[in-house]
Amino acid sequence: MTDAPMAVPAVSLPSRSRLRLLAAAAGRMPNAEMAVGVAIILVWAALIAAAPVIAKFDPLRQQIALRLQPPSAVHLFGTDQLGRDVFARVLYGGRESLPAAVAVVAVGFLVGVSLGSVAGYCRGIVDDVVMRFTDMVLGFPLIVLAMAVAAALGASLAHGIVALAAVWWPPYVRVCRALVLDLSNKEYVVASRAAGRRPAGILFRVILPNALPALLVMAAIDIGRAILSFSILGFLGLGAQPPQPEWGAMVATGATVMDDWWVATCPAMPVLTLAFAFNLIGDSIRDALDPWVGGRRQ
Amino acid sequence: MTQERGGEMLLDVRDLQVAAGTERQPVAVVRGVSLQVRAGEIFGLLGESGSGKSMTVLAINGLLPAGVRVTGGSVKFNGEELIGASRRRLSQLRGDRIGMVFQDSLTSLNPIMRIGPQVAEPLLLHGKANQRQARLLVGERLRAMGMPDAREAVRRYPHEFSGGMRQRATIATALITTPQLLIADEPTTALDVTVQAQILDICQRLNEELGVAILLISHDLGVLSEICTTIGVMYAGRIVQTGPTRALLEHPSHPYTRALVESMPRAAGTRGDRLHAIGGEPPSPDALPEGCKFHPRCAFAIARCVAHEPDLVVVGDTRSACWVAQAGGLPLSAGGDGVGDARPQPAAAAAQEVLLAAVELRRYFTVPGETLFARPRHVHAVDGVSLVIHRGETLGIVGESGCGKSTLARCLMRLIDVEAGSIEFMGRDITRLGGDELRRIRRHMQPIFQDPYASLNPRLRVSDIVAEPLTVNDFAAAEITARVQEALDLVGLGRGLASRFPHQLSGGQRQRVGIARAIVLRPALMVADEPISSLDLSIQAQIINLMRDLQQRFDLALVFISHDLRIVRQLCARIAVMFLGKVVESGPTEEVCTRPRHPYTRALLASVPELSFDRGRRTRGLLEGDPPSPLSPPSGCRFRTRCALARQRCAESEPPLAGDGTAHRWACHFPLDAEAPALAGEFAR
Amino acid sequence: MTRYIVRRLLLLIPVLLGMTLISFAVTKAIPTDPIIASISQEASNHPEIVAAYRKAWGLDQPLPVQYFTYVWNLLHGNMGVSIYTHRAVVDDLLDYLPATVELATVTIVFSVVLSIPLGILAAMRRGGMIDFVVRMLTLAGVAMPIFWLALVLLNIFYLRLGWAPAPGRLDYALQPPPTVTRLYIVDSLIAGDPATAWNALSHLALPAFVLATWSVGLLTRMTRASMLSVLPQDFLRAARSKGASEFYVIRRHAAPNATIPVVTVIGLAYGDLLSGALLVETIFGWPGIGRYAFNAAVHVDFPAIIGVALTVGFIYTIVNLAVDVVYALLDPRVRASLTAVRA
Repeated sequence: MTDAPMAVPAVSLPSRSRLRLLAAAAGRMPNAEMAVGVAIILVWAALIAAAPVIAKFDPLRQQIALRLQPPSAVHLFGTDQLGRDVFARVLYGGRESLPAAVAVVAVGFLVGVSLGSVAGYCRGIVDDVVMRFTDMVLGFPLIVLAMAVAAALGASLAHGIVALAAVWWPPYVRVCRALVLDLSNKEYVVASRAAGRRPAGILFRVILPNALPALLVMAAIDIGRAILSFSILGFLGLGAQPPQPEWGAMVATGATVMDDWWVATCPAMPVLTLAFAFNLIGDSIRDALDPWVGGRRQ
Repeated sequence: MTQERGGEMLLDVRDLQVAAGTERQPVAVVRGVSLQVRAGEIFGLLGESGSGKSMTVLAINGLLPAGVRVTGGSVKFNGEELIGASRRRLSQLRGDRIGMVFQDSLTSLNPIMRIGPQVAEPLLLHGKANQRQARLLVGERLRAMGMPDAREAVRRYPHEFSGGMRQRATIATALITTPQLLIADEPTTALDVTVQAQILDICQRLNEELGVAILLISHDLGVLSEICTTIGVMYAGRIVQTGPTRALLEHPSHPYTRALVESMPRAAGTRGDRLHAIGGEPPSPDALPEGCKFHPRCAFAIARCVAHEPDLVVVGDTRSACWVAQAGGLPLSAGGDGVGDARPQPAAAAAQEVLLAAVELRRYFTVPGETLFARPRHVHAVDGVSLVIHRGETLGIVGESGCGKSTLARCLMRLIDVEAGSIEFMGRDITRLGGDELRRIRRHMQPIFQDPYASLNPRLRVSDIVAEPLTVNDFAAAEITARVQEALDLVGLGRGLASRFPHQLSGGQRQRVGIARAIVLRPALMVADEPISSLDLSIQAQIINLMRDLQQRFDLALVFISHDLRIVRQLCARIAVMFLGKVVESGPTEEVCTRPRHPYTRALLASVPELSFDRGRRTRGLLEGDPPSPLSPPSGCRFRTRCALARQRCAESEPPLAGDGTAHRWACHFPLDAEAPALAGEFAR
Repeated sequence: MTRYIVRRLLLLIPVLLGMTLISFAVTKAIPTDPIIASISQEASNHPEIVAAYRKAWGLDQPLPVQYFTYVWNLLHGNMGVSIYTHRAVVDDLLDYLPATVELATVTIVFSVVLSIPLGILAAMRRGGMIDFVVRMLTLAGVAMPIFWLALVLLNIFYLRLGWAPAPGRLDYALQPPPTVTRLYIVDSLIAGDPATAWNALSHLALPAFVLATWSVGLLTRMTRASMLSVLPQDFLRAARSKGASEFYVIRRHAAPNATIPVVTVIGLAYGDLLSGALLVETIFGWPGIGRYAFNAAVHVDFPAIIGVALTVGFIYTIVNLAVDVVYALLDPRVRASLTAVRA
């Protein structure tokens, strides 16, 4: 052996990572579930995107003579009290619900992450003020606030988005703040500071890139919750107004004809399955990142 | 006195095999381990990470985690086979005949349960006592362990205790039913050096008084050599050498053992020697080389070693698994033989200019008061520390947990602010500097951190991590590339690793990346905070050598913070010993370490486990109890509550840091005799 | 510990004030004339009434004074008068709140009793069939559009099978028990009338079940996750090394540690349920504050809407505080960290 510093031969993977992968294979199969979740979302997204092509009927067209027909080859989801094709209405309803849900989550994410990172990084008074403000908004119930907004401004999809977005951001503030606080103490952040980075640079180029993956996962899963919330608003008549199709509102119209089950149940299906799928994906991701895989710490 | 060879066979392990992973793709982590522990013996199992030592003892006790299982071999306890025994039978033996102590006492205790019931559990589980009797016995045992206020202590929760006290509680728990065998898995690794000495002393006393056999696992050869009768050395899932302690250490007949012995920084070693480092890294269980698993790192490897794995056979006084040793090809005693020769140290350089001067630094943290209107209290993390660093000099700062050394490091680097005092660096007062000016100064001082896993940005490639100080300081792109290449070469990382991410590297490699990042700006000062504590033993010497080489080559000043006096003694020209926020002794390393004047320094020196063949009751300079709380330090001299020599004056006034006119200074009213021998007996307990 | 509680209580005040500010701002932000929104149509034609109203509510004063009047009124329990019911909003709320409390309490008790063992079991048999079934069912519970489920179950169990009783808290023919707490089940038992208590419970069953699909889903998932994080911890292995049986380890060490974080979620879920399970109450005709809020929205009864929003907000914030305090009481480490060093 020479006196020169050892040129260490490249090691393939250190022992910890390999054992972890092995244990994951030994354990369950999370990937199957994630695939199912993704598949459900993709199917609905494809159907909704292709609505103009797939739906053979105009969602607004009433054909009273054909009212309350059960699902058939012609009307896949049957018809409602006004003879409208439920399948078309479900697909077209998604064209507003899905983007609206994404919009709400996007706004909540942007506002929440901005406030949270500032609060977590600057600490002190700024942190206290942001957290008190967040607590205030956190206490307000989603639905009641949406009702208040609707009562004040009138009910519409746009107002529904505003109402939801106004109270959607507090969880992001909390999570982002916790992440930033935790990351700020990491040694590599201190190393960046020692190297001479400016505080803004540290926040945006070192801390946030490491916090974003977890936050993005949270946001992606949240879309399911947003879809659910929109459907509730719609059910209460606070979302898109008739005759525009909206999943929750469609369930409400089906409430009076429950014996003709398809009117209420078919529009509830995308809500249920999509919320389910997003949660399933969230679980799979969390399991994959979990260091306690297979019951053994790696 | 402990016997050289114990009584009848207590634990007989033959060819134990343990595997992890799936049924289809098993990974052998223990590949045929055999060992015997006799009644009254202390058996030491030595190994680094990946050696399989923890899995071995977990398998013996039937506590393997999910996904890991025994695939072969036999474990006999008192003649009874444990492998395959019913769960019921194993539960009967565990806690009653076999006690176990783990490394981390905090996570080994139920955090929401009081200590008393937890210590009493083995008694109640095995029906040895009722509640009342158990309570009495617990109090008695804790008191015997040296826990103050045992009656009060039983009602408290685990997190309210210090590490040393908690470990005493877990040892008391393991021994409360007076078992025949105590298995201790790295029981002192997480503890301070002086506390470690206390715990080892307790273990030895218990072995003598109660006759309980101990199976002690450690990665620290010094710890094992002090109290074990027999040692087994594990590498890559097998025992490669085993035998009586003295024989094993004096005539190591396996290259791995030999290398470990040689790479231990010696008390008597000359400062400035390069440490004997073993090249390469320990193999991971799923990527084992052919033949003898040690051969890629072995200086004596021959053709046979590459092809076949050697068996454990008798060689001299011990048993060893090495073809070369079995053929008589190993030199008899440990000594320099080509594995990193010592280089003659250049004569001490003439006094260099002062690079950094810190005067009376103070840094407090606040704790809210106990009651509603009480004023907040202060933790004096750094309480009036002054020191001077010269260009190109190595300064070691030594102390145990809570002494403030890490806080001091951050203060010196202006990573946190000081409440009082001044720092002058390269001729400028940087105490209150901020903004761009401070950033310009930062180029000249760089940190190296302890945790190789947390000190690198997981989202950046190695080359980007090393380049960060350059990009942040607006270097030209071409210059950046050149410097990064150079830095990676200097630290011994191949070019191929530059595009990897940190999680793809081993601990030793990551630490090299951290060092590369630190030198890429060619700073005048490097501050290293425990840079090797998280690394394997065989890697530590490599990194130390690397740091020394770089320091000498670029004439860097190096502040080396550590709790490990052995390393500091080898590496640093000057040393400062800290206790509870203050420097209690400082001066040239050799002077301070051979003629310490402060009782704490002496206790530290005596507590450091070293290769010693005297397993009799060594005078260890044992200190009483735990370090005082940083919240309410004792009046006057802070060390007085642990000091055997404390007198009235020590409680009244704080001793200043003063000396005899030389560079050697100490803060003690009644310093130790300058002429006294290095390890005095006045602390014998 | 007391210091922490007092500090949180003191911090509560600005939060509550902030909420009143927000609701006040919302009131002022609406484009409709508050007068028109607050008094009936004919009254607004009489200038004297309008002027008197303006004066009573300080609407002729500058904004800050209006806000102070608003808060002053609140502190005196005056939340205005409902346009629809013509009663004081406070009186309305007091009438409707007990029904919600009863529904929420029964739901949460049922959920806790079911979820915690289920979550622990699923965690211990991770990867097995039980775990899979539990996971899928609870996922569905959390993703369920409750309004749809309520409609379906009401249709099946009431209209078709006749198993469930008619909407309402009691059978039409029965008299409510003498008022003590206004919780019918409790009051009936106090009055020694188990038949009425049973009747009240049976009316609760279906709405509680629907709500429980959500809360059982949530609590089971939380318990399972918490248990999964406790199971690999070292102190369980240490307990086994003392000779404890697997059952003892779970009962005495794992489960208590796993349940503590879940307590927080139980509290928050209770707060959510108390906030008025609006949809369920409306569909089942349950006279709780959720239904009151829904009626208020339908009739654009602004004082009522704001009153409900504030009440619910207050309840939720206080529940949050209580949950934090309870957690600190249960977990000694949290108690200690509240007096920890702040660097």
